[in-house]
Amino acid sequence: MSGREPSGLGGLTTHLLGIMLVITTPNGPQFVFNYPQTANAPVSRQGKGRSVASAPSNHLAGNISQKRRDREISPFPYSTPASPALEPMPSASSRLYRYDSPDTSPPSSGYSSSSSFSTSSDSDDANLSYASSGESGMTDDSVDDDGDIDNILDLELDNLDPLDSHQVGSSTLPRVGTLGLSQSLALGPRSDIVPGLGASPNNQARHGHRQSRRRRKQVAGGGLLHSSRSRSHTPSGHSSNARRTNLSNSPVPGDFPGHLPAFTSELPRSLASSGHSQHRGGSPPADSVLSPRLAPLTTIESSTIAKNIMPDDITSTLRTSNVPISVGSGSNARDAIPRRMTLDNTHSNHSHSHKRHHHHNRRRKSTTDNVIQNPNGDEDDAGNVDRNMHPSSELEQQSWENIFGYDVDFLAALLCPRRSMCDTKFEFTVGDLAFLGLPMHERADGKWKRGPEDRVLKMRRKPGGSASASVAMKSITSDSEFRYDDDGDEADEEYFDDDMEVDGSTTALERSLLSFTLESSQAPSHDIMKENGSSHEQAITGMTVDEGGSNRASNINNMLHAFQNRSPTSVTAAKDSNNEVSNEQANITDNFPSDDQCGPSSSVEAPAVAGSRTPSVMPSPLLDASPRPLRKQSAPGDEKSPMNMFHVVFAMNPPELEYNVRIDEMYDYVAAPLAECLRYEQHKSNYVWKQAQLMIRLREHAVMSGTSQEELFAQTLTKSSLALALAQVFLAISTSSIAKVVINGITRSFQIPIQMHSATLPSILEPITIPGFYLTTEDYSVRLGLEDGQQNGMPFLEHALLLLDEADKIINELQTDPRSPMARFIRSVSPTESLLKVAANSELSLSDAETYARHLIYWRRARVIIPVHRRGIYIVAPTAPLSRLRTHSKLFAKAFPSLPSLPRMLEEISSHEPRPYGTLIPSHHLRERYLDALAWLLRLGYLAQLRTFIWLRISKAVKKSVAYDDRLRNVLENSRAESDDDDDSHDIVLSNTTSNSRPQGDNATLSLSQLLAEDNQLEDTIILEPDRANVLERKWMDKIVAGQNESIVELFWKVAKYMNGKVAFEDVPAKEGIERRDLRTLLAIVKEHIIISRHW
Amino acid sequence: MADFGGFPQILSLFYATFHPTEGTKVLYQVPPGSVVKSTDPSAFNTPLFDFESINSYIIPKPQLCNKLLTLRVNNYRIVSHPVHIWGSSYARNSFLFNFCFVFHKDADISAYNPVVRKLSKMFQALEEQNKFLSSAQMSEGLKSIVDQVYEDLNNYCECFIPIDEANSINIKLFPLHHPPPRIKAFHVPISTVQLKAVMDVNWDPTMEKIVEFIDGINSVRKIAELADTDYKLTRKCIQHLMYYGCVIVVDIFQFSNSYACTADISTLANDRHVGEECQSYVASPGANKRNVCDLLELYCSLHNGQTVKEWYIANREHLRGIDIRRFISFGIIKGIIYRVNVFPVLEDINVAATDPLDKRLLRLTKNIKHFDDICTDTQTSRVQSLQSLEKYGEVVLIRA
Repeated sequence: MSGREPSGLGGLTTHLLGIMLVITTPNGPQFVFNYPQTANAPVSRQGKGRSVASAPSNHLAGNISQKRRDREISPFPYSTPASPALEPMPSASSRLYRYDSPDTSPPSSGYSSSSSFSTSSDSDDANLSYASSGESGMTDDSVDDDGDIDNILDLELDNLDPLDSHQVGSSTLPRVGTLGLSQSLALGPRSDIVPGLGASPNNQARHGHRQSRRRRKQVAGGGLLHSSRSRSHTPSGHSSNARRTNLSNSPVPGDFPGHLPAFTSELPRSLASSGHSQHRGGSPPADSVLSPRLAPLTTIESSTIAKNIMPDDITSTLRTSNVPISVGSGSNARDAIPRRMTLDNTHSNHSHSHKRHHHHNRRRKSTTDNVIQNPNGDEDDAGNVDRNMHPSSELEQQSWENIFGYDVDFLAALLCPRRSMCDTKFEFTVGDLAFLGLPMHERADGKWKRGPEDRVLKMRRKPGGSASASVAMKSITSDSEFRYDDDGDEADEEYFDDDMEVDGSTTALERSLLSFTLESSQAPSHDIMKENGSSHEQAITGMTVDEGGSNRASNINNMLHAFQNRSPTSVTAAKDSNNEVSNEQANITDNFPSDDQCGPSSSVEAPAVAGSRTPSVMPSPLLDASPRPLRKQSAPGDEKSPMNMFHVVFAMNPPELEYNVRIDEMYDYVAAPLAECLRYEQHKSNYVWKQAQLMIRLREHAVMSGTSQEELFAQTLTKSSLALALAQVFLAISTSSIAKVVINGITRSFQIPIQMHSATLPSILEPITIPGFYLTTEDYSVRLGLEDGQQNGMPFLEHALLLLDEADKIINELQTDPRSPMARFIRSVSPTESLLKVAANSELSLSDAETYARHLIYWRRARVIIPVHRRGIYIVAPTAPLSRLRTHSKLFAKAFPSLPSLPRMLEEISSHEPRPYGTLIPSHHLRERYLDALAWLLRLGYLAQLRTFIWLRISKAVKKSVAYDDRLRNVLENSRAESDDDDDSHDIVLSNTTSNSRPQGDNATLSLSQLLAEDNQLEDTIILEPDRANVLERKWMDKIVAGQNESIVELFWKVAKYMNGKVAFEDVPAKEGIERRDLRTLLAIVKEHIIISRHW
Repeated sequence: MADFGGFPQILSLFYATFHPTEGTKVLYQVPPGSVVKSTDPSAFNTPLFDFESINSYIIPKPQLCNKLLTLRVNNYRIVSHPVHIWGSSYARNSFLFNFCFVFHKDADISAYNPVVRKLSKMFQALEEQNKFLSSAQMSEGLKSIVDQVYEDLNNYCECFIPIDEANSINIKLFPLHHPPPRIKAFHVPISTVQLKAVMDVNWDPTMEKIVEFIDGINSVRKIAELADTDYKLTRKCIQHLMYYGCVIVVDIFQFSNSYACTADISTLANDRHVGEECQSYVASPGANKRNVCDLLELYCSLHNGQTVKEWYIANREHLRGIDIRRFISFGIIKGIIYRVNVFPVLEDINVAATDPLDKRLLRLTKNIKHFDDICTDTQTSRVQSLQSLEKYGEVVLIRA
């Protein structure tokens, strides 16, 4: 059908195009946030319905394919970007292999209509090239280059009072950076602000800004296609758009536009606040069609602009309260102003509560930094005005407002369904573009808790399935577990309880883990980080000096990764959004150290770099502790948000034939859990509303100040933890990896589970594209007890764990203290030893070992295997990644210099009849190396273990013999007494000897010829379920071991139940506690009666 | 989920318009009462869903018109294609209508998408021609059309309704298949239907030529050679046949091949139908059917590192009455065994060839292709290509 994208990516894509957040307030639907930024770009130009869906997907596909190409370097399916050597995404690689998603690009239109032979199948690689253009999307160098970077003032985007606007005569249009904005969050109407507060951020920002400038210049060469101001996306192609995706993810230092105007008029602070308070509490005028539309800058020129100068600030820090009003025409103005007021209402509430504390901190850290601000602000203002009047800002507006080719207002209205459609799955498809989500509506009583009326609306979840269960698996690193599973409303209710402490629901083990991680983060090397405000923004510091911009593509990875590796300290510090707000402010001066050392190591070092650059910003360690009492003051329930619904919308373009599957998995594993989690946070601390408010402000502010879209994106991601979380979810989910995000201070993880193994060999037509894919009949998800979320016993302790990466790297990535039991466990895990042994060696309890093992499996860092042993028989798997043999050969040679080359090894293994691996090992002292190599090969999916499966074959002779015995007995019994007893067994014979049908008759009366005929009809059969053998089958089985000595007979009956072709006999000795040798003896004795098959 | 002929049932079909004063209105629905309350005695007691809450998605803003929309409501999915017609003759200068199909939420509605689109386009044309829809509030003719579409699609998967001299509704549901995979030169098509019997004069000339060579033995490359047709066209033909399920594809059978069993071997033991099918498929002409246990044991005796020839020699006694080729291809088709391919690997990859054929050979080898691929591509025998390769260094053979 139309619009099916030729997916060279096959099953690796999740067909996720973007994530949006929309909310409704009494003023109507509002569009809050979308990610990725470029989702809108090409569409507004192309306009056609069909391309709406396919165009963004193409450039996304480009991105992903780039990652995939990167990944080609990696020998390990799960290697993460943490290692500089191995760039690729953690597990972009690891997508469930879907047999139903053809890898090849079919002639899509040709096949849907009968027999046109017009199409070609040779275009498979068509969409792999999008991301590779050298053109840079970084175009807006003008924003900074002509400005004076010293003109950084703290601007305050705060309450806009209509009154203000009349008083502002000037038409200057300040360019307002994010600095001012986030500061405004903490600056309430009260004015006890000390001079110099804004200084240190500026100082630091200037640093960032210089960096950014330098970088921009380097970049600019690539961006010539675009006019300096135009944010319009040229129709020239996807390449630039693909670039933009990358860009949007990189925290561009341009967060600091660095143009701050001089204030032009003053307004007593009290005026603003009184005007403000008028509206507080009162419900705002119900303007039904209020839009979040961002007024084109050109119209603003004629509009009024409000600036509040706080009297206290005049001495040195010039705080310009600069609130844009979207006033295009008279009627618009009327709409816009009340809306602003409602936005500001709750905002000022909580900013109040934090102000004092916040300033306290800032004062402490920045007393030395009373930098002279804005020496030539006037000139700068003029420049700004000019730029803002530039007509190209119209273009900018246009691209702002189009997402997937639709106006944002329109989309917001579309995606905010009526109440009756809330709290249930929302799924709306336009052409090929599907919008999916779980809109959350507040309850009639204004609370967000899951109400009794909602209980019936249980999440639709697939029963069973290994996949579903893993969602319920606990993430050990999170300090509080959001449980999204069906284990009863009681638990839910309890969980969502207001007063629950953060780790109230964690198990003792988890708490101990948490304490380990906390401990580790309190280690000296982490101190700086902790001090430094310790909010998420810290992590951003890990990645910004991106010299030359050539690494920008990797910034997605870096960013994602850096945040994944965020220290738990930040988690605790940013407990709720109130706190976060202050953190955001404290962190206003995000610093940007280098990104070449991303990952865990950088999370330690990065702050140090930052610190050396801007030592004055280092806040005291007390910062973390002090906000807490304040938080208590602004109790969650106190403030009533005007938001009555929020909706995180996932935009997807699933292929028509996979539509239901793709939509359902996205909903079940990501959309619904995420929405539930947000509802909880909203309920707990008004989180979603605060974040939404923040994002809306940032955007409006950016429009007013003419900030570029890229900058706004970077700003939003920096300032809003929710925006960042959504972006991370998008990046992770669209690359099939695990999204680990911090939402309101609590770590959550989301993933669409992938299955890296299969029992069924894919058809020869569908080449395996998933690195590390392996074949096995063992479904460990069942053994792991994931089915019901219960840990039923110790289901896999006799098995070993195969780490999918180096132990130390995993320890790093999981943010585990190298001295913790978890780390000890990871180090002592060996593919040759069962978990029982590992637990014993590392002095862990079995249940702890199991928990750690589950954790590693959940995070795709390990898989369960049968302990490798030289006795094991391995073959080169038909799914072996031979296409990457060359790359792997080099790595193998490096890792195992004393061994033959990789091709030689594989030849050795495969050229004979399958035989124990030990036969390959030339000498005893090389055994260890060979076993290591074996684990290496298993990890990459080169080898599959052949295991032995056995059926009991009942031969004609056995049956005849049993039948003879029966008849003999019958005759004897009949002669004794006429009895019907035997009819039972007779019936069984009838119903169970397959393909045997003989007329019902009395045994005793059967003639000899009948008996002979019956005997001839007997056939060899297989006993399919020996554990449920009926009387006759048991007789047959008895006959098989008749005449053997007692121990053999006993052993036979012990293991006979496994002779069903389903259980690997390699496992049986461990299961039954018998000797391998005895089992071999038995099998040799009964070998006439068994069929042995060897497969994986 | 009630299916008929593989297609999901239409649970409800309704026609809605935008009334200039009353807003979105359902003018007609089958079955009655399925969408809005109805006074019809046979009507549903309660509608399938609350229409009021979704009516803005049924008659949406013009931006969404003329696009295929699906909306999930509770357990149902509404598929529609709203139409917006501008015209000064209309009350608000525009006319909005939508024919909506309601399915169960889990239904695979892919086959209906073109139908919904086509139907609404057709009504749009009718409306533009002669105000078919807007002339009367709800004409009897339209009612009967909706009724008939609903009944016929559910019962016969197709419908033909003449409307006037010029127009008729002519709809048939076609299943939407997955696009066929990419066919390689070394793939061997096996027909699942009598291709000659279904062929008619309208078939593609290439197809006509190649059909007789599709015998389960010839590879695609060989077929192209034998039929003297273009290889690429041949490949495309095979692909089309695959799309319609007329052929399945296996690898080239040779006695030098190796096979080994997969985990699906258990289906032969567990599934009696597979067993019986196997018995009759692999039997040599005139020979008795073999016992399933024997067959299972024979399949299990296939393993890596052993050619079919060696296997045959080892099991000659047990292979009486069995057609080896059919035995192997049955296993391949059912997925109970797999072909163990041999990949020649040159240890030294820095060699260069001058001979064009060798160049090609080296290129293929460097990309780690198996012998089937190499041989059909270079059109040389396995021995030849191995010999040519050995000129360039030591060749390692990986069997996977």
